[in-house]
Amino acid sequence: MVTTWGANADQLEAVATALGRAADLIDQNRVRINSQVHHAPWRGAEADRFRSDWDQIHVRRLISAAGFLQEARTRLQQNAADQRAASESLTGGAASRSLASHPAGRSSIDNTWLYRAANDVVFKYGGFSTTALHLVAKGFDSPLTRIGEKGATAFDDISLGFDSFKLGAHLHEGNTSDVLYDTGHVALDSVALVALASNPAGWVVGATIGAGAVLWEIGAHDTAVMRNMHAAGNEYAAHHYRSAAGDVGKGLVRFGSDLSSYMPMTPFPEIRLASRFLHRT
Amino acid sequence: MTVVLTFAELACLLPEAASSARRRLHLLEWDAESPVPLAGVASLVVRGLVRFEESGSSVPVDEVSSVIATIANAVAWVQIGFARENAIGGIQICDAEDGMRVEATAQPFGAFAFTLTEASVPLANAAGVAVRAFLGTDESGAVFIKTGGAEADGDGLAVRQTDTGTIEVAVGKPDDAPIRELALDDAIAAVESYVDATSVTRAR
Repeated sequence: MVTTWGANADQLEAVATALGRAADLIDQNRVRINSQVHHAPWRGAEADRFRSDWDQIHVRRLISAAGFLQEARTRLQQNAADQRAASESLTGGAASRSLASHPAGRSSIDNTWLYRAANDVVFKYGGFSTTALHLVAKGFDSPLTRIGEKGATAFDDISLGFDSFKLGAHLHEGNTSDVLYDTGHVALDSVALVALASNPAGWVVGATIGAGAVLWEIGAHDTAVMRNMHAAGNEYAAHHYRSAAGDVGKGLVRFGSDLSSYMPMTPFPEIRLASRFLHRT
Repeated sequence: MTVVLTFAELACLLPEAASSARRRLHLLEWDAESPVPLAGVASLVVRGLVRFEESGSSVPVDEVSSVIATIANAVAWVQIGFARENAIGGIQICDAEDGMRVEATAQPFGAFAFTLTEASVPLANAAGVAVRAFLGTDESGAVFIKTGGAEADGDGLAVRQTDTGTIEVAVGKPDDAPIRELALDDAIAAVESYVDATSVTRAR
């Protein structure tokens, strides 16, 4: 029986890719929100103060967060390359092996950070999903009912996915990766913080994007975690983990990004008509 | 009592049956795949604006329910846009049959501040007070008033105060309706008369 020691290079690269995407996402949303902040028909002292805070504080935080993610990505890619080199020297050219072919093997991939991140996300946003389920189940009289079943399934998968994830995480032993955990939270907190400063709608956009980014990262690990679940004979959990942490994570990111495009910028057309009359000659 | 609700929250709170209320608030239409309603639910929960009962059902908290009920069941409403050279704003006032009134103030980024009161004065007077408060200063500015009974989009009553302090009124479209010069009190009376005649959206 061959035991895999050290991180799986493919997994490291998958996480690196996810981190890079999260960084890009933060950049894209910074640009989008920047445009909204500066072009919204919002005037007065409060608006000036917010724009000043945005330019001097929040934009810098977002740039810093994106930079941090990019840095983490580079570091992971380097680790993956090192791992491949080390693996080749040990096996005489064979690529590093996945856990799938070694169900009883032991990996030094540390999923603790994922477990912690997942727990935090559930803690912070668990009410959100539970409530959505409640509302759907009770037929809350709103457009939500139109997406009720789909939404319920998605959030059910998240919950199940996290339960499954715990199983996968417990099967692992390992080291390192606090950096990854922190990285996820930098992404989440920085975006949420900026959005919180604007208004509740922005908060939702930011929090959703942040949660999506973290889930997305977690989703990048689906291969590793699923393999562990398969190893434990838990096919059902493995299946749901994929749909929950991976697909739903990406969906949440899109969700947050799309949401911002629905924000009406000039609420009442009567404002424009008043302005036209003001300037009529 | 004032509560701020976002467009996403309103998407959840205002049922499809209240489509007229949604239109009056100029909420964008969204399809079933849109993230808006779900975001609204999240926001309502995070902000504690819905509560869970022991049975597991969830309902908006009382102040939100009252506001939504008044908006959804409005029998008369008026919408006023305000504009100065360096500022804009908008309010909507609607009355429900039970004597409650909601004043919605437009905020940036698709949010509205809703203030619920009892309709102690007629809707026309409330509109007159708002217009007087805006125009009764030395600054130039204009208002545009649209009511539930206005015949066509873009039709309404416009009032402006010029740089020289002259008050001018136009009924119809703001770009080409004939302009009359009036004293401020007469302009306010014209506003009240217009709202009184046109604000009822359906028979009480």
